[in-house]
Formats: sequence, structure tokens, C-alpha cells
Amino acid sequence: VFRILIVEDDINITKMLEAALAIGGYTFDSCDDGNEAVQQIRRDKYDLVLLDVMLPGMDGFAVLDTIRSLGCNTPVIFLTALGSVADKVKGLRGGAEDYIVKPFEAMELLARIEVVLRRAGKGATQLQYKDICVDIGKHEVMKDGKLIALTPKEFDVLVFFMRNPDIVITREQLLLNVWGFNFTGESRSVDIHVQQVRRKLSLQRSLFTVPKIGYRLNAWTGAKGDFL
Amino acid sequence: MRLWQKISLISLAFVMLAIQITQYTLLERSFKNSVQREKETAVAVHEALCASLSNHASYQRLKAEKILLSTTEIDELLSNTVTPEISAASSIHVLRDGEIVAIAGIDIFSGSLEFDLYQLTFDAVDNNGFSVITDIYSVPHLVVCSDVCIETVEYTLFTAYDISDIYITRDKEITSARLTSILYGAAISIVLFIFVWISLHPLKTAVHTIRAAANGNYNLRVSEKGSEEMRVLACSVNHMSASIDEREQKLMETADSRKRFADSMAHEMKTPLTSILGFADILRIQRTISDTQRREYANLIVQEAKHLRSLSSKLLQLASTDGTQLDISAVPIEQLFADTVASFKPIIDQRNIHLDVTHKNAVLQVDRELFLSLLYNLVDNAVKASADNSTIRLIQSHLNGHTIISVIDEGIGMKPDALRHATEAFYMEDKARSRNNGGVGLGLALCEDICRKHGARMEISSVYQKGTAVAIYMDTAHLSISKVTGSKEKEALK
Repeated sequence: VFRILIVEDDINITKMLEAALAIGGYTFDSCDDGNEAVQQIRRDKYDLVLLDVMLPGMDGFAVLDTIRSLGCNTPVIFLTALGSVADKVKGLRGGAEDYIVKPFEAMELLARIEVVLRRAGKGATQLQYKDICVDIGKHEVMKDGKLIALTPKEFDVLVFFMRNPDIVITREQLLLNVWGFNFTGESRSVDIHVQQVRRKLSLQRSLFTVPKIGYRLNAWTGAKGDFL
Repeated sequence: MRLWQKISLISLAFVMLAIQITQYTLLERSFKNSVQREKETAVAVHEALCASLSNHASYQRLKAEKILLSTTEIDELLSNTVTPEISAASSIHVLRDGEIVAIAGIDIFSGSLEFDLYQLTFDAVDNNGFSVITDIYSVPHLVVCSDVCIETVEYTLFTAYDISDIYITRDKEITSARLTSILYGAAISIVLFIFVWISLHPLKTAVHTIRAAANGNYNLRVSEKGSEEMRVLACSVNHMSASIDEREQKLMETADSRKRFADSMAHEMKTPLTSILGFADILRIQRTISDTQRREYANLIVQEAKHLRSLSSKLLQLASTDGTQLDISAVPIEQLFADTVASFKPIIDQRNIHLDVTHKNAVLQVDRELFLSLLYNLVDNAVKASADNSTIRLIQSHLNGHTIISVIDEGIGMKPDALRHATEAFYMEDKARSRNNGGVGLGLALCEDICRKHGARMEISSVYQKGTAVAIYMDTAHLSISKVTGSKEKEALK
């Protein structure tokens, strides 16, 4: 289980982040002051820091500089209201892994966290869902011990669902995370890919269409075999 | 050609010309004096010769014991007597009726001499003696001529004197004068060049500074030394740099404060939006959610949306005070105070806050809506800062031609540091408390804006834990013309 530090001075945003991280299955601590954040990062071992830029005490850029100069390589994602390119460049130059502009959706946050953790070599390389076993490194999908042939996009769609079980995933999020930011095609192709994944892996009873929003892969509780 | 070179060369030319003219005049005068002296000497010698010849003739006549010597005898006597030794003259001629009777030294009438004998003889007879300077065999001579009567016979005596010495002296003097003038000229030109270069050097530094300013460096200053003009130039250049620097600073400050305002606004708008969007998304994507959670999230969404609502209304107010024309009218202060108190009636009753109103029945020339909003904001701040059962005073008074409106509370006050930033947009001393009260950090910024629009001045004084007093100083004289200023501002905005 990954541990994430939330550094944010607005109490309601902190609550929202905590709720979102809980959905993603992460454990977390939070603090609302720059100086305190530096102390906490030095003291405890975190897998990721969500860092607000405008903070009392010491601003986010300074916090990042300080922890980097102390030799701490914990990945950092900036959360900020400042959306200009210059601000983004400043943040990323300073050694941040990613930069999320407020306001953002909870799902987007979770997806970005996942990407950053994976890039930091902390994400899982093997995923298990019921009798389906996915090896991301080998790009292989086994169901019941048998190899299932998937196109690269279908593979990515499956992995995205397995990484975010029990969460409604919108077509936009799938587009953004599987097809990339600049995809200009139709969301119809998303539906086709999801249907292909559902058919090839017999997920008709687990991968649901949520009307008007998107899809949801129901959580699989493992031992009980209850995957409603 | 450079200016300093031009100035030097022109000055040098004039100086040299002046030197040459002076030298020439002096030399010419001294030469004339020499010639005059020479002439006087020559005339004296000539007259002495005349006298001696005359005496000699008389003596010979007496010696010969004759009453009268014949012309031939005198001619013979003269030709024998006249030798180069008898006089200092280099040449002596004695003529009678245009015929040479006796001669000694150089023959001035022979050969290719330019000397017109007859003309001279004629002149001599006419003028009874003259002197002239002429070249004889290329040597300058002074020729003196006069009629002389020897033993009743008229003779003409010519004597010539070599005056090449004074010509040589003159030539020597001219040569030496030229030499010295060249030397002096060289010396003067060096001094001039250096002096002019030094005098004009400030120009160079001024140009350097202006160039630096053109390239965006306004910190260079020219040293204000040297001649009056250069000091003025340096002073002007420095003044220019300084004022450009100042303007740029001001522009940068304005840009900075705009950026700060935009950043703060982005932050203030996006913070509630982040919570709203985040919680809404969580409610949307989570399959199972407990009732308590759902209610908590929904509550937070409502809370943040309300905050956004008050923020947007304040921003709207701020935007509407900016750039809109004031609708000035005569408003009795009594009415303004009454309206303000009325709008706080429920909350002050509920919290048992006493709102004490004192006024002198003044009539203000103000924009009614804006001024009400100003009073509302100030009283709102006071109510928020005050504890239950305390007193807030709303006072209007006169002082030195000013109308003063004060809002005084006995609330929590501000620390000096917070007081300094109090009117900054989005500044909140205690964010959590402000937000719980529905504050967005724009109230005092808005108040100051409204005061500025009315040509009034707002002063805040505060003691931490004791209370805060906000005073608005309105210049009554200014108020009567504020309508005009308002329309002008409007025009400027267009």
C-alpha cells in the first residue's frame, strides 16, 4: 500500500483529496504548512507528495527545492491554481513529476498518481482480477491459464479498468489515459474497445455500462469470488 | 570631423591669424622706424656734404683771390673734390643742368637702372629736395637729392646710401617670427586640443549613458562636473534616466500588482471550485457510499459554492466600482446611517451588539449605492470582529473642513503586520475565520476603491485585542467638484 503526503492549506480541498485517495486505496497523511511539510517528508518515508504551491510558511516551489537539496527523491505532484505555461515549466524544472491545475476531477488525480508511481518504479507490474492475470512488462493477458490475444489499445483499456476497480470511468478519462491527450477521434471507438475487452475476457457480469457516464469494473473481493 | 577637433582647429586658425597680423604690424612698424632713422641720417649726411661742398668752393675762391669763380672752375673743383672718401654715402653725383659734373661711387644713372633721372631732376627742382628708396644693382639704396647753390651756380646733388642692412634685419626678424609663431602654434594647438577634449568629454559619457538607457539600463549616472553647459547636460541626462527609471519601476509595480491580483483571484476562485469538482466527482464515480459521507460531501459542496457566490458578488462590486461613472447626488448622512443600521438589524439583535449612531446632519455629495456599500462593508467587518454584547459606533463629525465618518468597534483588532496589508485584495489575516464568516478578503480593498472614487481618504487604526477604527476623510470642497472628475475619468477610460 502506498503512502501519500497531502500538503494543502485549504481544509476542504484536503478533505476532498483524502476522500479521493481513499477510493484509490492509498494511505495518507496531511499537513497545511510548508515548513511542517519539509519536516514530515524528512521524517517519514512517503511514496508520493501532493504539494500545493500557495502555502503558508514556505511556498510549494521552495518546499520542493528544500527536499531535493536534502537528497530526498520522493516524487512530487504539484496542485495549483496557477495554470500558466510559465508556472508549469517552473514546477517541472524544479523536479516535480507532474503538475495538476485546480480544479480537477478526483479520477484525473488518481490516474496521474498512478502514472507517477509507475514511472517511479513503484507501480505493480502484474495485475490480478479473478482468473485474469495481466503481466504489464510482458504485455500478456492470461485467463484461466490461457493466453488471450488483445490489441495494444484493448490491453491498455483492460489495465486501466483493473487499476481502477469499482470506480466509474468516463469515456473522456479512457480517451485521455489510453489514447492520449491529443486524440481527436470519436468516443465511439472507446465503446468498441470496451465491448471487445468485455467479450474476449467474458467480463459481461463485471464490466458494467453506467448510463450516461461511462463504465465500471466492479471490485473483485478475491477469496469469496463475489464479483457483482 | 569630431566636434572637439572642429572647435580646436577653428580656434587654432583664429589664434594663428591674430598672431600673424600682430607680428606683421609690429615688424612693419619697426621697419618703418628703421627706414625713417636711416633717412634722417642720410639727410643729415647729405646736408653736411652740401655745406662742405659749398664751403670748399668758397674757400677755393678766397684762396684764388677771385671775386667770382667761373662755372667751369667750379665744375672742375667739384669733380676733383667729390671722392668716395668725403662722405659716408656710397654714391655721390653732382649735376648741373642735367649734366653730371662730378661722380663718386656707383653710377646710379648708367646701365639698366630703373632710376628715371630726368623725372627725378625735375622733381628735385620742384620740391627742393627729396629722398627715395630704390634698388641699385639689386641692393636697396636710399637716394637723397637736393638742389645746392655753389658760388651762385645751381647744382643738383644726389647721394645714395646702402640700406640693405635694415632689409636683412627685417628678413631675419620675419624668419624668426615665423619660426616662433609655428612653435607657439604647435604648443597652443596641443593645449587647445587637450583642453577642448577634456571640456567636451562629458558629452561622451552623456552619450554613453543615453545609449545605456536606450538598451534598458537606467542605473548609470553622469558625474555632474565641468563647465556650466556640461553640468546642465549631465543633470538633464541624469534626470532623464532617473525619471525613466522611476516610470519603469511604477509600470513594473503596476504590472506586479496586476499579476498578484490575477494570481490571488485564480487561487481564490479555484480553491472552492476544486473542492466542489472533487467532491462532485467522488459522489459520481464511487459505487457505494455511506449516507454520512454523502451528506458530508454534499455539505462541503454547498459551503464552497456559497463561498464562490459571495466571492463573485464581491468581485462584481469591485468591477462595477472600477470604470463606472459615479452617480453623485446629495444624500443626507442620516439616511445613509439609517439604511446601514437597518440591514444589520437581525444580526445585531441576535448577537446583542449595540450599534451607536452619532451624526451632525451633514449632506454628502456621493454615489448613494457605492457609499452604502462602503458603510455596509465597514460595519460588516466591525460586526464580524466584535464579540456578542459589545458596542459598535458609527460617527459622523466635522474637522478642519473635512467630513469624517468613522466606524469604531471593540473587537479583536489587527496586529500591525496585518494592518499594513489590510486593504490588499484577497488578504485575510485568518483565512479559516474569514471563510467561516463568509469573507473573501475583498471588503477593505473595495472600501478603499470607493473612497478613492469619491476623492476621500480611508485611514485604519487598530490595536490587537482592543478594537479597530476606520475613518473616512471627505474633503467637502473636493466633493462639490467630484462629479466633474468622475465624468473626466469616464472619458479617460474610453
